[in-house]
Amino acid sequence: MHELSLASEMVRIVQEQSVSQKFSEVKRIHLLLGSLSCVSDEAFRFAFDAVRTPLLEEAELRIEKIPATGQCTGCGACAKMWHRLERCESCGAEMLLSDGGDEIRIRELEVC
Amino acid sequence: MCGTCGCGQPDSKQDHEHRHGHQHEHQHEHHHHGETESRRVSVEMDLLDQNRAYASKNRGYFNQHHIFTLNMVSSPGSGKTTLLVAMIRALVDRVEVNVIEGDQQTSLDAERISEAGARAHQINTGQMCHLDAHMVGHALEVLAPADNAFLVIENVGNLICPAAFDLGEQLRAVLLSVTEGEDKPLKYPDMFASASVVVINKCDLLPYLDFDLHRCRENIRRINSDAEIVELSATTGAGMDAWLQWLNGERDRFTTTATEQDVEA
Repeated sequence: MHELSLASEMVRIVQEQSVSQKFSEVKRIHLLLGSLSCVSDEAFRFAFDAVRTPLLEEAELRIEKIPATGQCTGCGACAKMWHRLERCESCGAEMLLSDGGDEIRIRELEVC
Repeated sequence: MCGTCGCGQPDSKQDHEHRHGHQHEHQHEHHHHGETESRRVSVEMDLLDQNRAYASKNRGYFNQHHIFTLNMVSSPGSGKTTLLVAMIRALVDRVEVNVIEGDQQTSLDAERISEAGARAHQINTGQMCHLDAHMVGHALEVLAPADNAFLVIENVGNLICPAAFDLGEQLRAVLLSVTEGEDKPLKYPDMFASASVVVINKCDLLPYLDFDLHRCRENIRRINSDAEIVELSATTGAGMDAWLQWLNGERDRFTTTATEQDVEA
């Protein structure tokens, strides 16, 4: 349940942004979630509901999952990795992680 | 732009001439957009940015004071505290050993650690399932390790949550005991992927278990091709010398690098 800490951190960042970017209500949060970020989106939504502040009372949480990129250990093809034990679609060999997948990033907010 | 009445759209129905041959002033109510209209604001901040900043601060402190730091993680019951006690007994005559203990409740582990001869500080995480870099920073203020000390952070027993939280450590040791099953690295890949070293503990029990050590190593390698793999029994002491020798080598390497940085600075 480290999702609770992360959801609290999201609320803290949005509260801070409400001062610097001058808004009083959040309608939507667009969050990018890397495929290897160790975060369960269900647990994250559950945790977010538990820590909402009045600013975020009606906010819709849009979670966009982002894959990591990897390279096939057999044929060398590059492809998306949705989990760490992904196999190459072309030759079936295991994929080696090359980049990304760890982001848990607030991209933008829809506010008023 | 209002999507329901089409106001503001050129050549729309409102810009009209009625068939009955005269124009009349067009009257309809316009919406007051200003008060409720939403806008998009860009944020582009990662939820772990702040933890990374605290971890970087801790790392700077460790480098400055030549404090070699090991973050120990595992599932509950794999033998972190037993291994730690054995390590302290072997090291305490040569170096000051400090331990930050993370547990949900009680100071039982800190008491065991203190009895073995280390300086210990217990963090009761309460509801939290992991330690973060901010908590460790505060623990350092209380513990105040000496320069050149050895610091071990015994994380909360959990193979999922602590994986994402860098504490500023030099090495992350993931413990796996042979009573847990050789497929654990595949079941909890994020933690094993983050390991600098995997310690396979309780190896004295191998004769009594259906645990395939070779397959366990293969599973670790599938997730992490770089991590050192160490086999030992903290209870009997088998494999402890090799583990401590490896650890000392890593510590020497860290101290040399930190000293070079001092000279450059």
